[in-house]
Amino acid sequence: MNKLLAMFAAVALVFAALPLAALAALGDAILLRSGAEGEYGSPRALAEADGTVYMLADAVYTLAEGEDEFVRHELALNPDAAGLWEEDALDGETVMRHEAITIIAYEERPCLVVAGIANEYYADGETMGHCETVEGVWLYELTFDGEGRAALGAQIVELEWDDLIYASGDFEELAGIFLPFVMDGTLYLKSYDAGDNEILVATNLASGATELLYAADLTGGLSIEGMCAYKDGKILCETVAWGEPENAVALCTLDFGAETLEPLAEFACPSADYPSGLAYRAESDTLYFAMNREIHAMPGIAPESMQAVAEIPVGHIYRATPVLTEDGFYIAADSEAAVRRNTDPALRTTTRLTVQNGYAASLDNAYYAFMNRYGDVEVVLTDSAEDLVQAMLGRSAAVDVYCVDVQSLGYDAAFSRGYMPAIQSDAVSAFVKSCYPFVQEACVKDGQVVAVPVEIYLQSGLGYNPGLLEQLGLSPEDLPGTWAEFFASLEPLAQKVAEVPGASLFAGDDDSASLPERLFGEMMNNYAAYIARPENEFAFDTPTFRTILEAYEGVHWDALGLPLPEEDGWEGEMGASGEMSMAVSAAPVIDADSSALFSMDAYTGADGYTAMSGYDALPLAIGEGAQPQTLASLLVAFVNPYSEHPEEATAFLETLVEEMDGVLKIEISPQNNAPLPKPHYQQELAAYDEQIAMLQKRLETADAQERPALEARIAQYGEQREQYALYDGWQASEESIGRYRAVAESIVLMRNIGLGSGNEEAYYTQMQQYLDGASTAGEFAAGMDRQLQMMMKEGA
Amino acid sequence: MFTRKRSALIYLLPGLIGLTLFYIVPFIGGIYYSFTDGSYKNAFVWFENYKNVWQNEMFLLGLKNTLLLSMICTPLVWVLSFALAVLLNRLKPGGAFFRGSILMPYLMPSSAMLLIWLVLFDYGGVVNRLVVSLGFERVSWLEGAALRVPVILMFVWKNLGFAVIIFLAALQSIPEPLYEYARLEGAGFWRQSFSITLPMIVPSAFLVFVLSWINAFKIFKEVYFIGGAYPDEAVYTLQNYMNNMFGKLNYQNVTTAAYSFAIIVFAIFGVLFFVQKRLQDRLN
Repeated sequence: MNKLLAMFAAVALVFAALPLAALAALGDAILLRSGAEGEYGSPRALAEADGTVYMLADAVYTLAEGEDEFVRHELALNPDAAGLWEEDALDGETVMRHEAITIIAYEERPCLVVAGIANEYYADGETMGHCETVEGVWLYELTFDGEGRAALGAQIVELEWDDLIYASGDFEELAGIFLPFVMDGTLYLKSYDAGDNEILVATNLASGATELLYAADLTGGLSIEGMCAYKDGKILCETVAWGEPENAVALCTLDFGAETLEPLAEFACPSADYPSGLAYRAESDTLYFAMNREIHAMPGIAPESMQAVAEIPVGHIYRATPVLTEDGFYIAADSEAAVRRNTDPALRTTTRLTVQNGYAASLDNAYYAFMNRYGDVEVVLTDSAEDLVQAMLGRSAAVDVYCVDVQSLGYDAAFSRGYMPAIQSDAVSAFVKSCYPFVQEACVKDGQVVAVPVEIYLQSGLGYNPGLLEQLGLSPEDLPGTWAEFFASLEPLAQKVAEVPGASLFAGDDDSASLPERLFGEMMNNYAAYIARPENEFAFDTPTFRTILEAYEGVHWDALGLPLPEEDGWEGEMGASGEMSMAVSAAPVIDADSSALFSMDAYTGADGYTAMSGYDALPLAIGEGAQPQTLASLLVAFVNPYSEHPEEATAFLETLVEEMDGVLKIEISPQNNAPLPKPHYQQELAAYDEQIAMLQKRLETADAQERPALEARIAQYGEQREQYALYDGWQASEESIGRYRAVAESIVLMRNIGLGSGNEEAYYTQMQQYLDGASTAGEFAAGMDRQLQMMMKEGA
Repeated sequence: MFTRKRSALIYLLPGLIGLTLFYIVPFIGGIYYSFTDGSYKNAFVWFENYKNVWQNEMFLLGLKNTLLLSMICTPLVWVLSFALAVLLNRLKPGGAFFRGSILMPYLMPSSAMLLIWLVLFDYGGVVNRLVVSLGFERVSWLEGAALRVPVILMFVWKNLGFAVIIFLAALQSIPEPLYEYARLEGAGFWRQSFSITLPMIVPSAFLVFVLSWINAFKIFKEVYFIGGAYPDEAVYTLQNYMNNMFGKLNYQNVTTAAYSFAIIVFAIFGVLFFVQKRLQDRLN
């Protein structure tokens, strides 16, 4: 007896000593993710053959047994000529190419369903047109060439898919393929006919013979939302009857040959979601599906036995049927991620970390990285969270990590009342303290870091055209520095602009009625941000504000050459008298050649767009001696002081800092200045080089008639290559970072000056009354101040 | 008089439990919050919050406005409801229709009522047309200090009916033979009123007074709906202050303001009860 007890104690000690992760949901992994490394598009199919999982998306991806990441295999289904760009084809030339449609497992081997597409080119005036025909659809064995690229092996059978080929003018295309799976040597899938009616397709893979079935005839008009292989040669189908507050889900078995549908089970689900990604395991007679970001198991296809067995960060699965592996893993994919989850509920971790979804790239990065790193913690990104104020009042632990906008009242209340505990992490502290002061103001309290920046939203604002400015004989030093100076400068600048043919004062579609309101709104936002700062007087009725209003009222908007209200740009040019107005309003562009002096939509971020912009930001100060301002809003994350998992929450924030989006890091910290190329930057440049080389080779043998066109084409590709190399190929280039740094010091976060549901309307009503002339500047300022003064007197 | 006190207690128990759980316990619990500092650590700060609140200009303004509005509305409701009750008492056969009509505003939801009043008191509304026809200038009733007028009128209109019903019940409970006997003895109208009517209705009159005053303290919906969280200073009530403090997560100030006000209310009604008792005794 004593020996037995000792043995038992020893075993217990061993288990206690094991790290928690060893007892967690083994095998859970993010197999592939869209993000900084690139996009893989919409996954078309998943299949398992001989222990390896295959996925077809923009390439073929393989997951060998025991591995935790998909390996990418470029598709190499076509000869080089198939990569011909349309503009480079010759008249009468026909190029055949293969397009992978779906991937399946047949006879324990991976196979590709491939369509043969013929592109026939013809001269159409000065351009080259082409028409496409689908020559056929075949099943090929999938192989890999010496470079690891996915290639076509032996052809197995031609599929009789003529009924799935639709013609539209000069083009033929194959119908969309959804939820393909193989059962008993037959490929089943869902598609749509030319009239957009849902059809179920069954193709015998031995002969290629295909049958179609109109499902609506059997389901009473309901669409088949999901399907998978069942047993006894039948298909398990799902239909949904939509309703509020619940949907009615019906599971049925479909006998394709007999064209019969028999009900199996019915249950209700919340109207916001419904089951997708059906997968059936015959051994345990259990159906698995994804719903509301969880995998559910339904043993015996009995709704009362349904239970959630794992969390899955995949949205609605409508295209690629999930794979259910022999060892109990559910593998599914959408355009964001391909995920593997263990379906054993006993292994599901009980530690759940709920993070409020801020819809930011950094948060998504942290979400996936954290789950891969900490298998014993399940992270739930919740789209809705209780109001922050209410949650703090009620000491709610429903959300562990909140994501709030610094401009929100909830942030203000939580920050000022001490509801953001200090984040106990050196890594997080070091990072936040390396950020710009405007970030630290929002994330540091009493010397301690209480929040982490998640995303910054830089407001498009006022910008000027340096090229046109130079043309006018002016320099940036001549530009106004304050809002009052800006309004006062509009008329003189409009006169100068009128002297330049084709130039206008403002870019965009704003007219003489909308532009004043827009500028006024911009000024008010700036003023609100200014008075929200503790060192400035919290009031509207100040000499500075009145000076701005005076300057604003002094502008003769009709004399600026703007289009008249309610007339489009073309008619506005002519005016009532039929004479041309002073200046033509330029089209809205972010173009170096724009003919407008100012733009209200100048972009100021560090990403590549900034480098392409024809406008430099023009931050203006509220008054003399004040700092010029570029407005931004900031999303921050903090740990709920009532969280039941504070350590895990802190670890999540640490992961967030590590996995932070590269452009965001540049924008919030002056220490990050390394340019960031886009994924496949080198590959894209190589593609351009290859194309140019192909054309140059052609040029060598081209006749006198073809030479000019080919030379023009080579020059055009050269320019495009340079454009890509300098601008389009960068998430953040040296130039865009440099232009951003020039304005970064003037960034000011927009704060809530006490406007909420109770008084925001009054604020905008007063503003509109002033713009409409119903109140004077003095009345407007006094009216705005009345509320602010009351707020201030009430205190925090 | 209950002769079986134990069984009565059993029947009262569910109500008492509810009252305890949803009123008394939160009331006592709230007192604790008024003595803490409001951070998530909730440190005890004794009377610091009370000191801060009583020194706050906006709290004092709200308190002043609340008391002022209640002192205007309560006597108005009391006098008008008594007068209407006396009139309705004389319309005994046909009074049911009028009783029902006068009670309707009490039953209607405030938000629906407010929309009608907003239309009436709009700058171009019916009230201003009447004012103009009388030779006066139009008034912005929904802005500034003038907002007091529609707020008071709305309160009186809404609460009149219930007070009338209480008074009417009291008047109808006075036995008619008393008046007959008094008339026979040569008592006139005023003598009857002071010697018979008043002593008999004093408890109900006091009830009406108290209820009206309590309701007057709660004037907020109308002000908030029209003026927002920060209306004109003339109609900024204590409820505005507490509501704004709640929105800023400063529930220490909310509870402090609420309990301070509760003490004032208890004091006022304590005095009123004392006065009522003395009056009742004197009249008797």
